[in-house]
Amino acid sequence: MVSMSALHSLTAELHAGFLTLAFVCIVIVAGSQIVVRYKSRMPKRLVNLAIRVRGYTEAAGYVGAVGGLLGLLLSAWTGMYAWPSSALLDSPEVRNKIMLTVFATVLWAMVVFVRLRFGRGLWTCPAMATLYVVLAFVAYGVVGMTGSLGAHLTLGESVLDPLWNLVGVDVGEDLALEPATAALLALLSMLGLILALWVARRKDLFSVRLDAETCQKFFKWDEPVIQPVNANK
Amino acid sequence: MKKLNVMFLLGAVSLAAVLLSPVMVASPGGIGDSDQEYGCVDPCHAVHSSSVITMTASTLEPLPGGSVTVTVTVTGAEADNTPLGVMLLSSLGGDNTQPSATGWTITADTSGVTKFNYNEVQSYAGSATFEWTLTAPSTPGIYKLYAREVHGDGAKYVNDFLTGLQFVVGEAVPPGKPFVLITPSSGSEVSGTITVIADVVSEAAIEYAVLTINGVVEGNLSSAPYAWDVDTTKYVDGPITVNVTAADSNGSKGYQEVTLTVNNAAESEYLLSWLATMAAGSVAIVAIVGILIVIALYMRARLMGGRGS
Repeated sequence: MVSMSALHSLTAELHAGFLTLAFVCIVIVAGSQIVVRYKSRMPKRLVNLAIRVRGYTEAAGYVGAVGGLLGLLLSAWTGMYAWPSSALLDSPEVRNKIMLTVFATVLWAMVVFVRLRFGRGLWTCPAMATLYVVLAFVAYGVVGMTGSLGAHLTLGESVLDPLWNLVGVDVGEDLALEPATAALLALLSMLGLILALWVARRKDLFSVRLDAETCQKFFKWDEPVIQPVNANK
Repeated sequence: MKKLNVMFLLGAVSLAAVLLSPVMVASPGGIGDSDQEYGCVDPCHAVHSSSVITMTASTLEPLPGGSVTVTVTVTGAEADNTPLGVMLLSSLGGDNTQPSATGWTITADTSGVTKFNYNEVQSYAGSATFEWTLTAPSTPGIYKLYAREVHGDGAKYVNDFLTGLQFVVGEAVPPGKPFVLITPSSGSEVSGTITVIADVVSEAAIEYAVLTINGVVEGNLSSAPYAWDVDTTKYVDGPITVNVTAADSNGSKGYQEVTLTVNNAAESEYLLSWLATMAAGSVAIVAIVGILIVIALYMRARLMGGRGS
């Protein structure tokens, strides 16, 4: 019988691997888009490489993000059973880890949502591409923080300890807000979102379908597609 | 073209600000001589140190109110010309862990001037000695003192002198009667599941020790360690009476009774705050990303001359 603790280690490795792949691929696509944008100033060989690489890494990044999101959900489930249920919520470190895992899951869900809703065409619009890349950075950072707390629980230390020390965050203490403050934050967030959705509806912003043509007028950012091997020869 | 460059410049500046912010709020190591409770220490120390701690006292059988000098020596450890501190404690758990919690009074610490239970050397170089002079509790009985060493240098290290020093104050052990010392100490606030530990001392072999809470027997052990896990959620918030009675092979019995305060309401409030923060944080993330998506689409629509799609 495989213990839940061993299964949790497995699923944690799974989501960490998938999400690292997704993050690296998204960064590579961003870099490639910049190279292609300034192709007149770049070596032709580098531009050709960027065009070819971005097609593959864009798809791999999407698959990695979806796989990582599923892995995160699986890790949350196995993690619930890996820790003695009576003591699950007794430790502030465990509580912080659960909270950061929830935040990481929501952030990666948003990464997947953006890619799912706007497709590869999001890379043709700099604003949307920037949002996608920044979101991936933040989401990956939160996953790293969650992993650091996991290392604290199992090994008593983490390679991120010097960073925690510098920031002055004590991961052994509750990072929770007062309920009233949390309620106010949720309320303001909801109001902000409702206002934004109202503006979007009035301006008919959601009818957009980003594709190779939509953002070409000013920026000429190509949509990353997988190129045939001899396409650039 | 210019807008594109500005956007990437802003992104780079934001990223640099995020990466550099830890450096800008860094604080120097060490917290200085002060009064400290047992716990993870601020910032939290959780990695076990390789240091060796020795603890000695001028006497282990002081008179009530008599003077005792406790010396703690630390050797080894990971610290290298960085701060290292030692705290003197009356217990290794609970809320009140300073020597004063069990009746000790520090009359001088290592400096000889101040009276703190935590002393620090600023530049540790392989070994350090700390010394406290204390006045023993005025009530005869068995008392313990512990030491805890903390330092940084790459990680947050900690090492406890777990066995502690046991003091018999006054005529604490009359012949033929077991004496019991309960941890947590009387007056401590507890919540969730706690471990009640009884140190039992007797001239004869201990036959058994019985734990009763509010007069109800909760456990019975015939060999050391005399420790019981107690779920405090079974009790109404407020004071509970914890009694451990030990009997030795001569048939003599001794006991200690302490009053603890159960406060699970505070723990429930903690959990409520935690759940509320998780929910609010998640809503905030979705809202912020949603707003940013709308802004990105709005910028695109403006650049495309007002065309929505």
